[in-house]
Amino acid sequence: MVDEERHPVDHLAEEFAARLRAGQQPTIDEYVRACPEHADLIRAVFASIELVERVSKKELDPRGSTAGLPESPAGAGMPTLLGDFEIIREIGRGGMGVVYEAVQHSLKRHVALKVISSLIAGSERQLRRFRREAESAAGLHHSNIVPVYGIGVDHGLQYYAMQLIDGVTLAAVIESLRSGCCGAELSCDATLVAAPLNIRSDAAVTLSPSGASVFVSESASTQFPSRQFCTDEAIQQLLGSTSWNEPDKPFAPDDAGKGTSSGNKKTHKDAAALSAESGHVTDAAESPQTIGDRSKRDRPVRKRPVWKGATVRESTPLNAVYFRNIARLMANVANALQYAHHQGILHRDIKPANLLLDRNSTIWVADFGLARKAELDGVTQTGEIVGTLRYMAPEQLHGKADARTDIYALGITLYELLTLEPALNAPQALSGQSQRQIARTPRSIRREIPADLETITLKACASEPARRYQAARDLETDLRRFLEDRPIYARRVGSIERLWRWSRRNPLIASLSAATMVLLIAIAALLGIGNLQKQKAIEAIRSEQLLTQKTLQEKTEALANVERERTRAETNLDLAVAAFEEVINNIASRGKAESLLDDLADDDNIIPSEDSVLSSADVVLLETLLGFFDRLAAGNNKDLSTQSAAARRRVADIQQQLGRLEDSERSYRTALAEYQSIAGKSSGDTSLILIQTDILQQLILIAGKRGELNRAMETFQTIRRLLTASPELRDSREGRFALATTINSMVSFGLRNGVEPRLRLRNSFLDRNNNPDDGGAPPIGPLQNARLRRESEMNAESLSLLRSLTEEVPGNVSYLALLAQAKKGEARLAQVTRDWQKADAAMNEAIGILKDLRDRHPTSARFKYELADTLSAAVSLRPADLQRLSESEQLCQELVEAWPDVPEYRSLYASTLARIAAIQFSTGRRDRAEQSLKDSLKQQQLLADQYPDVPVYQLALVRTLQQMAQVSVARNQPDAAQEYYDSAISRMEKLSSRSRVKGSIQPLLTRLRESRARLNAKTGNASENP
Amino acid sequence: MDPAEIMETAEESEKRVLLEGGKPALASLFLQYRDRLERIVCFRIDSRIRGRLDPADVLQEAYIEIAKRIDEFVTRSDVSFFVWARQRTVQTLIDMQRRQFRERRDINREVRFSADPDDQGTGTSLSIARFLIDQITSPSLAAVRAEETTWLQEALNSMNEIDREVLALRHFEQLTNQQVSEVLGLSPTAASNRYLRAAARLGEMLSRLNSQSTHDGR
Repeated sequence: MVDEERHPVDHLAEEFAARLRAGQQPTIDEYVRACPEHADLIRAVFASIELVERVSKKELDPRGSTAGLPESPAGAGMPTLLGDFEIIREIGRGGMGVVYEAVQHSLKRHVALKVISSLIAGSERQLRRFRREAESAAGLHHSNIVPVYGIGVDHGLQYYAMQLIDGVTLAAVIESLRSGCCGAELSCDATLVAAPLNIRSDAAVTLSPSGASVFVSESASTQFPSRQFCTDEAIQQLLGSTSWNEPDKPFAPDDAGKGTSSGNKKTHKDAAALSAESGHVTDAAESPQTIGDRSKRDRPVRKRPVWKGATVRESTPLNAVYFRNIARLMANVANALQYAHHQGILHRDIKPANLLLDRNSTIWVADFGLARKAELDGVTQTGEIVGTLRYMAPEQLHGKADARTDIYALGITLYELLTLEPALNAPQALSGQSQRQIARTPRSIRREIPADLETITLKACASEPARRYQAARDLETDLRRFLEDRPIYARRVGSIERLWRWSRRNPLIASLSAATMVLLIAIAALLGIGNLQKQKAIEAIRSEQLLTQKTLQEKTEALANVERERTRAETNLDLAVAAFEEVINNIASRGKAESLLDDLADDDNIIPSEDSVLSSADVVLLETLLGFFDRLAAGNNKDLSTQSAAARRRVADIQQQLGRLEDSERSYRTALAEYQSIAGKSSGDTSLILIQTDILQQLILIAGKRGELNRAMETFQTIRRLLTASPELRDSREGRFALATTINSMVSFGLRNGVEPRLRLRNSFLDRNNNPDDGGAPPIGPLQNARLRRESEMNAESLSLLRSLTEEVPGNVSYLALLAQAKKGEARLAQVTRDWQKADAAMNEAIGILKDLRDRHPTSARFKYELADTLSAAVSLRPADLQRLSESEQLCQELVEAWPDVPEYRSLYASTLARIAAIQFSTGRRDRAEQSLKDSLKQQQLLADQYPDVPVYQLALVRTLQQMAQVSVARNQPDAAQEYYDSAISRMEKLSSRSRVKGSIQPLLTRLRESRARLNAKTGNASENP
Repeated sequence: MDPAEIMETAEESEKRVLLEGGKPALASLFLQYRDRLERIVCFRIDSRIRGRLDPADVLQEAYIEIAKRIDEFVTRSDVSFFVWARQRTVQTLIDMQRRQFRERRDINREVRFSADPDDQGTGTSLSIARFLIDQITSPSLAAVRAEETTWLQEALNSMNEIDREVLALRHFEQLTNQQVSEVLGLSPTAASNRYLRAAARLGEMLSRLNSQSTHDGR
């Protein structure tokens, strides 16, 4: 193609310049020959291009050109000797200068030589900084600090020499783990350039690279070891795949100089930081070779990572050994920092790229690059900002720094080592603003991270210096306490406390919520104490709440009049709402006990109510929150309409949880109307439509719970209209996913309300002839048939949506999980029509998907739980098949061992065991059945003792006790039966004495008493008539 | 293949990426051009404050500015992202330098030249001059090179403003013709012609110099 717009000579000129820039030596004559008709023009133009390019070449390539430094040892006219040092090769480069491997002739040793670039040397400040760096670092002698040998000036170049370390940077380790590409495919005989290509993410967010932290090896034979330590090996060490011999020396100043002895044959290479800092290697690799290659030169195809915030990345799974190793390494770094701080020296640039891990598992703090003597603070201009932005503490952005600044950076480093994710998102890190809050807690990213380690991390990188560890020593102490499994000193910080702190930082804004604050503190205290003490605390809160609400109302009204307070109030309310949401989530996660609820519903004796999963304390808490959100919503300030709608929606959620379905529905509809009016103002905002969809889904749930299937269907149609109204949303993944989600809840609620035959496993305890396949289900009538057909069609639609979604984004966890759900739905529908083959196939597919998810995310508890749940539920299809149940049992056991405090896991474990018992009974294996039932009983007892206030656990336990009693009677063990009844009755009495579910459990209590009385009578008779 | 055409589509995709990806996409896009922008900052920065103003700091600030105004680019700008980012970066540099000098001056003109001898701005001729002076003080520079450099400086100073700017953008900033045309608000054809004319004129001066020195040598 020919560019009509430009003179042909311009094309040639552009190419000519590009070739010059690439270091080639094109001649003017070759172009004249190629294009003789423009000979004169070419000669004139190209001659000036040659001159201008020659003149501009040297200085202007910011990091690309060597700017007066030796390009290579053989580089034209460049010094290969700097003082006593002979330069061998370049091993890294950064904003501050270039690092070479060199030989120190006088001492016959290999060293790393850091040479400051002349571009920067032009700056007096940079030079001072460089000298300071070398001076301060040379004074540090610590077994985890890279020793600095000396400083010098030659050929007008500043340089300093330091020990070569045969190690890899933790930045390389993180990147390699994150991309999950550690393993065989990462070649270990990595060449100098192979390693740096691994590092991408650091470059992606490091806008202000400082010195390259690169150090080359020193070896006895002045030759490189045959194979250098590589990232892959480091990772294996960290994951515990290879032996780990940690030279875990506590800080001892006498050690000084030990590492510097020339007899110490440390070796090293780490070109990793190289491209982290510059991306230079990639650039050099592509120089335009031929005519016509211009476009490539214009926009070098440089592989830069795209920052993906939300996408699921498959990273290498981390294990407990890894976390402990990281804790140990960071403890050593903290020790090194403590030592340096003690000498009055700050590092100022702690980051993974400055921490080197060597073959002996020793961690080295490199590049005290920006360090300076703390007492010389005055020398540096205020406002001078150094360091890599992403790891910089907020106060450092304002030119302030102390020991706690390094602690912050180490905290961020620790965060990234644990999560393999950046602590701050890219724009945040780059914005240089002080509002750099860590968005996600480490455990919300990886649940397997030990809680104590998370607490330590969050304390280390608190944005307020006063909230951090005050000395590196304290951080080290906590890390070591963690390693020794002793309690750490740091305390967890919930969002409530964060809110509290925030209010102290923002006293003006906080005035609005002074009242809220009182309430929050009370709730915080409540969450912190045991269940039993809660009762008393709750009473106090109640009276507090009345006061609070009054004040809150006054403040809100005052607020409405003051326009300038508006944005502040918004922030404030957002924060308050977030804090409350944490409280709610806390309760919600405790409240889920679906498997037990399902089982209980099978039992005619017990009718579980909506709120039977909540403890009394939870109920009061929720009521309190309800009051709060109600106020918030009622405030209904025009300017706060979004918050108000969100609050109203919250109210509805709480009401639903409390089982007040009518109130809840009303609240949802109000919230919906509010969102609709907001959406009306900003039409086309898909996120608002998705929120509405979400609310409508809740309405489907409520209709389902109330058995109003027609209303559910109407609501469903509304959702469908909403989601398909705009083609943009209809075709978007979010839109299709929302539709599939809605269909799934529709189908599952349809099933729950009468279509699905109840499988009365319970009966099998005493009735051996009961065939669970019949399920006691009523025959299917024509009405039900129509509904079934409709639900099957819907489910098929959902399946096809999800299939295309999973094809478009393979490996998306949410899509796959929902696909498994839909498959479960298909299985259940097939089961209703008694198409066992189809049901089996669908269920197997669901299990297959979940197993795959579990295998690919072996540390994820969520998939393990869902798999266990599905395996356990699948059993209702073929009760005789114990295989799946025992698989489920195995998984539950693992879950319960790993997370003993998560009630869902234990309750699933208990119900799985009970199902096993039921099947064993039905197949006549009574002894084993009894044992299984006893195991289940044990789990339920643990649950019931842990949550004495939660009715569902008590009810489930009582039911199992009742079953055990019946089994004992059948085995002619009246004494045991008696005990079981006594225990059941005493639990029920306790429950009824303080429970709000009194009404529904009274009949059960009566029945239990009758049973015991009958048993008494029988045994009484028996003893009277031997 | 027409490079301009390739660029066109690449630019469209940049805009789309920005629309879809938001700030994270912006950060990664900015990083793609960071080195080139740094080059431009290095070229345009006033050597007298180079000791106080780090190019990295300028880029930092420029990024914040760009992030703030990205909507402007996405909705209104008709130039490519690079050219727009360059404008914002140069503007940021001017602002920061002005703060350094504590002077109030008209800083709105993109193309500025040293008509005013006291001008401490970022005009091309001054940038070139400062830059060339730096060259001379560089220890590694040969005497011949110094002479050449001094000559180039004088030659450029004798040219008109637009010619000088075109040469600077093409060679010191290494912009493409398309980008030069966007920066100067010219059509690509006009920009290309302007460039060739300027380069040819400089080449003529150079050949006159050569023949002159040959003549002197005799």
